[in-house]
Amino acid sequence: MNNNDFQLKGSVITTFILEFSDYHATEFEQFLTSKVQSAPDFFSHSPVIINLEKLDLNMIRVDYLELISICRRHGLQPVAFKQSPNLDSSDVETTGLAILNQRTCGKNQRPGAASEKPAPARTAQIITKPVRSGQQVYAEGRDLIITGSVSGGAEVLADGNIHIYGTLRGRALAGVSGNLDARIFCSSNEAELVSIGGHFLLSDSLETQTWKHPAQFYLQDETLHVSPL
Amino acid sequence: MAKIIVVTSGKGGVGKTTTSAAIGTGLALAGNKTVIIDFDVGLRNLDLIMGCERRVVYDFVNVINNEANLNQTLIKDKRVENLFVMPASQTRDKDALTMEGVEKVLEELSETFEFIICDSPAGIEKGAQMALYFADEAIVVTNPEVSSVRDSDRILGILQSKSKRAEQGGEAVKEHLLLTRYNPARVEEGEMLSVSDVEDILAIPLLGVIPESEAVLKASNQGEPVIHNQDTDAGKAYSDAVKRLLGEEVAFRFLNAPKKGILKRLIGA
Repeated sequence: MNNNDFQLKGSVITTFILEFSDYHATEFEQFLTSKVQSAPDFFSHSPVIINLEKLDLNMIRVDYLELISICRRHGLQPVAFKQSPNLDSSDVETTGLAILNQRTCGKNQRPGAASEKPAPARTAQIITKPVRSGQQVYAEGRDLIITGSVSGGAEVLADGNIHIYGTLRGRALAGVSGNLDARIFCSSNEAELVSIGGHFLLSDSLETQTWKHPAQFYLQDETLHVSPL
Repeated sequence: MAKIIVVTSGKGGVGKTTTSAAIGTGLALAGNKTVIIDFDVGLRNLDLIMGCERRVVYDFVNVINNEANLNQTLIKDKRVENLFVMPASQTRDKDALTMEGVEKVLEELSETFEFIICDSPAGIEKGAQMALYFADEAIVVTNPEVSSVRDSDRILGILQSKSKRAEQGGEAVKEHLLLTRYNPARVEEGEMLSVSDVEDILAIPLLGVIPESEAVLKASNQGEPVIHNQDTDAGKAYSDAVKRLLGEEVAFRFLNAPKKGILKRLIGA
């Protein structure tokens, strides 16, 4: 057998999704008739996925075989059902169509991910020297770790979190591309300015209980908070 | 090969030239052939501090422009064997220095000297960058006050990014902290930053602490580097710093205020 005779490939295909929030056979048939009449060629032999996720199946009985045959009468080709994974799928299985649920086709999966290796997580940028006055460090798209101190007049920026294991005397700006969940940590807080996602505090308002002590900074309700570590 | 040491600070008036003169003299006294170069083109001072202002004929810029050779330009110190001064030009400005010219002069000096001390101008512009570009080691002169410490921090950042060693990715420039005008009594009063405060911010090894001393101003005005006056604390402290620079381990002195006697306490002096 030649290995090239058969190949298993991942692919992304555009299909229609028929979404139900309620089901009545006659009304559904009327709906399809009018849709298909408006653009007969467009729907002819189109594969379609029937999404039942919004349907409360405890309240509404669906005759799946009837639903499929209505679709086929109007030229659509149902290929799969989509339903919530915690529902009993035995009735749907008897139709012979595939069942997609969130484990294989959910929102929390990236498109095309089934065929790709997961991308390695971007590691943080690590600075092992002190960041001196007048210097600027920007960790684009990732976290920033500084093992020394950040001097007064220096500026450290990151799209992610910022960890400073020395003293923060300069300016630290985390989440500069708008990540409001970013945080800043430092072993000693003597900062000139601290900012997360554009919300900032100056040293005037920082010289409180965490001044010259370990501290973290985070956003809550659009306000920048400081708390001891 | 000579060791090239830049004396720099960022801020002006902290004691760069005084330190260049004292350290250079100390190295020569210890038997090393040493030259001190004044990089402060247009604001020449080193010749005054070294007491050789009347003997300047040609200067650094003349050598760079091939208008004079090294032997015509170098001024031999009258007090110490092995010590030479390369004066700056007073009538030009920093633009007269070129990277190629400075490199050529340093290479030529490297053949005969053991130490080349580059006395940097203040600031972080071209003159200061020229002075530190070819350095193997740097003495960062700092006064115990916040603006001087910040400027020193800035110049350390430049040493780490704009020196030849940094650009070529080799071994980093070796940094030394020299604290000058230190007054232990004022530190105890909380009016001045302490040695540990400055070390904490700058995070580089301490080469020496020079106490504030009237002898320094007097020495400058007389054109005799203060290290010659071993009766003074400042002179002794510079000697200690030179020994440390040469690899000796020397305990730090003059870090604490002298105890006041009972009479002084009574009259409140």
